[in-house]
Amino acid sequence: MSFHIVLVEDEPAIRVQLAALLERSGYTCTAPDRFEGVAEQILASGAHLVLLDLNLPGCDGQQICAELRRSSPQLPIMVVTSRDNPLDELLSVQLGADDFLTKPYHPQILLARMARLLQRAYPAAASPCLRRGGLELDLGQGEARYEGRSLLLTRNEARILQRLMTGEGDIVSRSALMDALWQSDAFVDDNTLTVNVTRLRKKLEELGLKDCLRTRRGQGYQLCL
Amino acid sequence: MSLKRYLKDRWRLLLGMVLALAVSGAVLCALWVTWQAVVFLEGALLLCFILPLLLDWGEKRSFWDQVAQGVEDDERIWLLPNDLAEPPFREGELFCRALEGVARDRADQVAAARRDNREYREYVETWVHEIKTPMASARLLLANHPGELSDALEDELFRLEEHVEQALYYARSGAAEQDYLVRELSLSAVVRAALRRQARPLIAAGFRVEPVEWDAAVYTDGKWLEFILGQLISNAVKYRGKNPVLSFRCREEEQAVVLTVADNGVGIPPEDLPRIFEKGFTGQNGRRLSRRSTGLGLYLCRKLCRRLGMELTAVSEPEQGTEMKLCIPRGQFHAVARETL
Repeated sequence: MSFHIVLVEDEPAIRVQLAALLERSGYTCTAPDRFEGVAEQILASGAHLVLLDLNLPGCDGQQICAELRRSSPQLPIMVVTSRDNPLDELLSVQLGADDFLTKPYHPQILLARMARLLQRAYPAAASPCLRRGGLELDLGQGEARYEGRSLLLTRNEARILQRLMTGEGDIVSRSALMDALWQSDAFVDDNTLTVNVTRLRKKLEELGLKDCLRTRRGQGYQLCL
Repeated sequence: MSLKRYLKDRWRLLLGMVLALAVSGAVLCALWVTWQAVVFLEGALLLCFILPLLLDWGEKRSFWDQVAQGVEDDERIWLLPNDLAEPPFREGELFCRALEGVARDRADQVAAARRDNREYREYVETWVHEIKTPMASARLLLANHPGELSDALEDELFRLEEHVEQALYYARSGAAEQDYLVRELSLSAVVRAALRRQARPLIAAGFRVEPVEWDAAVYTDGKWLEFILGQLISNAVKYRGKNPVLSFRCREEEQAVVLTVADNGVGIPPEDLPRIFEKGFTGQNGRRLSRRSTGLGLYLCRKLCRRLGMELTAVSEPEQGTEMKLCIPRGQFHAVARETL
């Protein structure tokens, strides 16, 4: 099952790019471009999570937030705004927003916080999965599956594999992998990364994926599936 | 105002009196009046001169003494026009009018300057918030199109964001209004947030970060604190040595929580150390190692710290490293919280 995210954002460029990012991360996403009666639309669409910008033309994001909360007390709402005023944050939380993030945010952080909100709101649902060429990564369980076999990964290994899988087979630089780890509060250094990648490679081999995590000298790593 | 000074200012009057006494004395002597009569008349005349002078001195002294006292008190001088009682003589009245006029004019000018300043600050805030939207979409674009070019652009975008952020906090640092929110925070969570934000430059410079395995509750504004830590981390990156290491240590004291940000970088020469928090001071390191040092970062940090009641100090050993100590007072909230526990 894939989660349905509604994106309420007035800036077209952000709407398009964020929608693309969310789709690539395994969510389905709708992004309305008109905001009259948007709260009813969201409720009717059966959304699992709402990403809400506060600055909207012609209407107030905080009002939408309050409206959503009134009709649907369980729906996770994440406020994303460029106003980084502490009072805005306080007001949004009082109106029932579950999380607050200011622009420009790190895309990885946005995804991590969304995953946490979804996990908390829908504990029974299967956790989000990434799939590529038969390899499946269960982000909630931290489990990798391939051809019926499955293996538990450590948190760091799962993060590295996730980053490589969202890279869609491109070469991912060492610094990009380290950044992904840092964004989940694992402030590893170069040596630790090497150790983690080696362990991950061994585990993938155990799953039957020989020689799929390749080292590209001077460039980074590549997942060849 | 002393009597001596009062009389000295009126020497022409006194000269006239002496002349009047001398002339009348001479005339009286020439008229063959008895010496007793001369002495009596001269004495009476002298009394008639001196009495009104003394009365006048008494009246003016109380007014001018009040003025002199007001002028000496620098902190309350702006209250002088209000404090002065209206005197019953013309120069005093005029003086009061003049003082009120000057004060009003200054007050108008200060108010106008404050308004301009506030409007400019509001413009900077709006501008910063506007610029964040295109920066956010640029970030998403880069995340959707990974590659070498995107990677390089992301570095530039990060630098851009840091400069924009500095402009915002610079505008906030001088404001009279309170735009921070003091809350109970986990200090280690703020440290981790600052590390996440500064991940790119730290990773690119090959830093090893010692694990943050402590925690402490502090009462301050999280965003301001994160910005200050970001500036300190960015300095550690700029002035790093070989095999750079960054560590965060925390010590809880009775009155404060002291956070130490330590690096093993090039350190600060002892002659520069007392001046690093001055605005525009770049020092030997700033000129030698970082061509773009503006001398703003630490100045801004200390200013923001002081507005939040925190204190920032530096200890450094050249070629060994630098320790920045951030002292976050516990304040009364904490005391109250502990009493109720």
